Amino acid sequence: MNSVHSTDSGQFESVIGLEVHSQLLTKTKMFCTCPNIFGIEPNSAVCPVCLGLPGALPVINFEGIKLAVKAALALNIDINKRSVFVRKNYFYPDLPKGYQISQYLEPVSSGGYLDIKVEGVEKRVEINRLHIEEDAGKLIHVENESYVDLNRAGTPLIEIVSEPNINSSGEAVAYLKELRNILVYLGVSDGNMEEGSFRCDANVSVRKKGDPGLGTRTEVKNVNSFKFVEKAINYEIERQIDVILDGGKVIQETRLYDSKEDLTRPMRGKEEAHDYRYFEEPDLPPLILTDKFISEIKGSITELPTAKRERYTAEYLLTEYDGGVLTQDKEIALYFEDLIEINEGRVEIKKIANWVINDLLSELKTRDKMKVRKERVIDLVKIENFLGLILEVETGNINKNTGKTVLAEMLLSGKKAGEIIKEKNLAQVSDEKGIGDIINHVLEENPKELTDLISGKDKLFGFFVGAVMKKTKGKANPKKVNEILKRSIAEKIKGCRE
Amino acid sequence: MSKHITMKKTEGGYSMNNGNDNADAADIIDIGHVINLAKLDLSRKDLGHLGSELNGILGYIDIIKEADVSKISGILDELEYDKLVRGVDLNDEFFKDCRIDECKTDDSFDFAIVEGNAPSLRVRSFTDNGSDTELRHGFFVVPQIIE
Amino acid sequence: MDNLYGLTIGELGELLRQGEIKSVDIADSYIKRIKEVDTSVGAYLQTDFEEAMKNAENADKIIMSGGDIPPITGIPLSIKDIFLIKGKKTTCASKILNNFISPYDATVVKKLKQNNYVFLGKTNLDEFAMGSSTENSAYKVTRNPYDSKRVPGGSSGGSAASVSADLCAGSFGTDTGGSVRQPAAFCGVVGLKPTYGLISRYGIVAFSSSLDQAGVLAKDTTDAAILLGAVAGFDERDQTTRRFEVKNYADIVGRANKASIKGLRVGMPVEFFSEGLDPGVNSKILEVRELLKGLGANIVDISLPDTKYSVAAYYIIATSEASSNLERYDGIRFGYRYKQEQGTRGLGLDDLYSKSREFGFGDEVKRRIILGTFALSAGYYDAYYKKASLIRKLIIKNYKDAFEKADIIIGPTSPAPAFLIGEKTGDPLSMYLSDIYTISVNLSYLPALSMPVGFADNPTKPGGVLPIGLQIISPWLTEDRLLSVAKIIEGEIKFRENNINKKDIRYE
Repeated sequence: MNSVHSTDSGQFESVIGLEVHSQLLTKTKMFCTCPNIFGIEPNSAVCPVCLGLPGALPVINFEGIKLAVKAALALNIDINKRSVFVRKNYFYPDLPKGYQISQYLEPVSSGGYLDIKVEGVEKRVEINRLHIEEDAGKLIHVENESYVDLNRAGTPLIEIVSEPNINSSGEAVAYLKELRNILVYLGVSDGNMEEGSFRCDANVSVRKKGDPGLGTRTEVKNVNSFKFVEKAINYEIERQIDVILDGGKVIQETRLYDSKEDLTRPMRGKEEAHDYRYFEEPDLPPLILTDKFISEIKGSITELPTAKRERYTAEYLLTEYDGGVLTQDKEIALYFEDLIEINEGRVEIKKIANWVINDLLSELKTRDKMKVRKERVIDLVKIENFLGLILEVETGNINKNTGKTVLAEMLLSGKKAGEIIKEKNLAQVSDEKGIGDIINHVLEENPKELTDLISGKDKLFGFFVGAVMKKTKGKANPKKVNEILKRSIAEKIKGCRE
Repeated sequence: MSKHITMKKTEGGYSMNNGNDNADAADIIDIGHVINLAKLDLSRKDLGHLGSELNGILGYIDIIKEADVSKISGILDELEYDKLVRGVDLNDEFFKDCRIDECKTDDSFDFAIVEGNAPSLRVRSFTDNGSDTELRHGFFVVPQIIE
Repeated sequence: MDNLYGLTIGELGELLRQGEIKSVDIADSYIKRIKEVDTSVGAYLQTDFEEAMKNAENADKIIMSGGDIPPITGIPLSIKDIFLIKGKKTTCASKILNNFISPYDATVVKKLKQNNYVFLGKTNLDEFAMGSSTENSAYKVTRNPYDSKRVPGGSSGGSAASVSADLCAGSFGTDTGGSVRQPAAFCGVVGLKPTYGLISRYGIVAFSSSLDQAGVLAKDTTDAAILLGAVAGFDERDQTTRRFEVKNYADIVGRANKASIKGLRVGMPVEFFSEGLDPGVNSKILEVRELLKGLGANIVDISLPDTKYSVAAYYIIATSEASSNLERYDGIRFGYRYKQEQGTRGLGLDDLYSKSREFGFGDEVKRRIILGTFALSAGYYDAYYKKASLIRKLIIKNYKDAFEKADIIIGPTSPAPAFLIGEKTGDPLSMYLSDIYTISVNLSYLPALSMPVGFADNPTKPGGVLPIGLQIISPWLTEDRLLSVAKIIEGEIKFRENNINKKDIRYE
C-alpha cells in the first residue's frame, strides 16, 4: 500500500455483501435421482436429466426443500409459502441444459438475520434471501482443451445472500464462520470449503465515511478458506481506496483472488454482463408450503450454536471463550455434553471442559496436521474411555503430564486408560516415604544448588522438582513432591540455623 | 406499426438496416444482440429474409399491447390458477408429488449410447505423475475456455 | 386376410382375441402397404420391419397364453420422431440430431412396450414440432393422402398421413398449438390432445414445455380412446403430470348413448366463426350443430373475447420456452458438431456453439429461437413474455366462464382445408394464423379433439375432395365427455363407413 495514502485511507469505510453457496446433504441430486456424491470417476453419477438430454425433465427432491427451509428458519428468514423455480439461461459447457434451475423473484425465503460477535461487539447482519438451485458440472482445463464432468451437475445448493451491511473482513469472517457452523449443526451441509461444498463470494465496495450512497462494487471469487476471505477482502478494500485516491474510478467487475500472490485480479475471457432471460420454470409446479410443514421443520431444529454457548456459560459457568471453542464444532459439543451426562457429577464440569479444550482438541489438531484420515472424535476415543482417563488424573492415580502421554497412546491403540497405565506401569508414585527418600537423595546429590537455594535463589526450587521427576521417570505425584520438598528444604534451613 | 430491425455491428460483423431510417429509436431492436445471446451464426443469406419476416411477425404480435391485464389479480388468484391448470393447491400435501430422496436408476438408460453420441470424449484420466488410467465413462471434450 | 390394414384397432383387436387372425398377419399387411404406398406419401422417416415382426411374434405368444390382453397388444403403430425410443434414432426431423440415438425410452414408449404393441416406424414432422405443414422437416416432404400436392398439416403430419393412408393402425404425435388436431383435420382422421398433464412428457423432445402434450391419431373415436387409455396417467418422472383417475376410455366410449345429448349445452364461440373461415368448412360445422340440436342439445352462443390475442400470445410464450429448451443443442455432448476444415485454425468454444447451431437448425427453428430469445431479453421481458403470460390467464378465464354456460364447445379445427405445398412457406405469419382455432386450447391446458365431419371440394383437383375437421373442446380432465360426444356425432355422420372407397390413394 502506498504510504502517501495511509493517512487518507482513514476517511474511507468499506461495505461488504456476502453470497454463500452451500451444497445440501441429500442422498440424491436436486432434480433427479442420481447419487449426490463427491470424488468419483467422471460422468458416473449421471442420468438423462442431469446430462440435459433431449426429453428429460426435472423432479423436485423433497429432502432438498426440507433442508433449505430448515436452514432458512435457523437464520430467521421468513418463509414464502408460495415460491417458484426459474430458468437462468446461458451457454457454458458445465451447464448441460443451457440453463440452471434456480429461484429469482419469488424465492423460498426472504428477509432474515444472523447475529455475530466480533471482538466482543455484537452485530446483526441482515440476510436478503435464501433460495434453492442446482449446481453446475466441473471443468478441467488442460492445454487447448477443456474437459467436462457432469457428476456435480444438478446437485442441490442453497444460496444465501446477505445485505451489504458488513463493514470489515473481520465481520465477514465471523459471519461466515457462524453461518457455516449453523448449517453443519443442522445437518444441512458438511461445510467443507476446500472441497467446495461451502463457497463464498464477496461483493466489496468502499465509500467516504458518512457518504449515504454505495460505491461501485467488485465481486471477489476463488476464496476457499476463511483466511483467504479475510486477506482477499483486505486487499480489495485497499486496492479500491488506492484507485480512488489516485483519482480513478473503481470498475464494476469480477475479480479472482490469487492466494499465492495475495492479490485479486480481474477475470479475463468471460463475456460481458449476462442477460439470463429469467422465466418461470414450466416443467415444475410452484412450491407450495403448508403451515403444518413449516412448523414440523421448525420443530426438528435442535439447539443451535448460539443457544448452546449461552447455556454453557449460564448452566456450566464456563467462560464465553470456552463456550465458543466447545461449540465451534457440533461433534465436539455433543461429545462434551455426553461426557457430562456419564460423568454424573464426579468431576467438576469446568475441569471436563478444560480437558476437552486443552487436551483432546490439541491432540486432534496434531492428528489433522499429520493428515490422518478424517474420523469422528467418538470413534477415536470413546466417551467412557476419555472420562476414564480424566478420572485417573483427577483422583491422583497419575499426574497430568502422564495423562497427556496416556491420551496419545489411547488415540493410537484404542486401549483404555487403565489398561495402558497398568501395562506401562505409569501409576503415580504418591507414597510419602518413597518420595521422601528420593528427595533426600536429590538434595544430597546437589549440594551447591541447595546452598544457593537456601541463600535465597528461589528459582532453584523448580530445579529440584525437575530432578525428582526425572528420578521417578515422571511418575511422582507433583503435589506431593512440592509438599515434601518444601518440608525437606525447610528442615534443612532449620538445620543450617542451628 | 412495424418494427425497424437493425443488425448492429457486433463481433460477428452484422450490419444491416431494414426499412426506413427515420424510425423512432424505441422501434429499433438490436437483433444482433439477440443472435449473440442465442448463439446462432447467421449467414448473409439468412439475415436477408429474416429481417422482413421478423418485421412482419413482430408487427402482428404488437396486438398484445391492447390487452387489458390490469384486473388480472382480481380475476384469477394465483392459487386458484395453480389448482385449475396444475392440480396444485395449498391444502394439498404438495410433497406427495415431490419425490423421495432415494437413488433410483432408470433401467432403460444406457450410458454406452451417450458415449456413442458424444462428438468428442476423453477416456483417460488426468494424473500428475503421468500414470493415467482408463476411465469407465470419460470426459466430454470442448475447445478451451479461457478463464 | 386381405386389407387388414384398412381395419381399426378396435376391429383388429376383436379378430385377434377371437383367434381369427394373428399379429404377424396384421404386421405383414401393414409392412406390405408401407412398401407399396409410402414412397408416395412420405409419412415415415424410418421403419423397422424386422422389429415389427419380432414384436408381432411376441404379441402372438402373449395372446396365445390367454388372460386379459390389453387392447393394443399386437397392434402396429407409428410414432412421431420426437418420442425417444431406446436404441433408435430420434431426429425430430432436424439435421442437428441426424445421428442421435436415444439412450432411454420415453414413458409413453415404455407403456406401449409393456402393452406389447408392434412398432412400425417413426413418422415425419416439422423440425422440432415447429410448424403447421410438415414442410419444415429437414429430411422429406409428407403428402396429404387426399391430394399429393397438398400438405398433411403439421407438425404431426407424418403421423396423421400414416393413419389416413392406412400405413398403421394408429399413431402418437404431439400437440403444442394444434399439431395433432390440425393434421388430423387435414387428413380426415381423429386427433385428440388430452388435458395438459394427462400424458407424461418424459422422453418427448421438448418444444414448449407448458404447451406440449402427447396426442393420439386414430381412424375413429373408439381407437382414440383405446390409445389414450394405454398411455395416460401420472408419471413420477414428469412433475407436470396430474394425479387423476385414469378412466377406461374405450369402455366409456362403447357405452356412449345418444340420449346423453339431450339437454347438453353446446357452446359455439362467436370468435371461431368470423371472417377468414372458409364457407365450405363453415357449412359443415353448422350441419353438426343441426345434428346436435336434433338430438336435443341446447346450442349456446358464447364468447371468448381474449382469444383474439391467442396467436400472438402463443408465439411469444412458445418461442420463449423453445429458445430455452433448444439451448442444449450445443454440439458438446450429442448431436451435430461443426467440424472446421482441415488446416484451418482451431475452433473456439463460441464458434463451436454458433456454427453447429447455424448449420444444424432450419429456418423456422432459427426464427423461433430468435423471437423467443428476444421476448425474454432484458428490456423486452415485461412487454412481451410477461404480458403474454398474463393474457394467457385472461384466456383461461374466458374458457372457465364459458364452461359455466356450456358443457362442451364446438367449432372448426382449421379455417380452411389442407393448403398446397409451398403455398405458405414464404409467409410465416400466414402459417401461424392457420392455427387460430386450436392455439387457445393449448394456452388453456384444455382437452380437445378433431374429427372428420365431411368434405369440401378440392379446388385444384377436379372431382377431388378435402376433409373438414370439427373441433370439440371440453373442460379440464373431462376426456370421457369429450370422447363420448365425439362418438355419438361420429355414429350419426358415419364418415368412415361412407368414405371407405375414397381411401384408395392414387398419385399422379
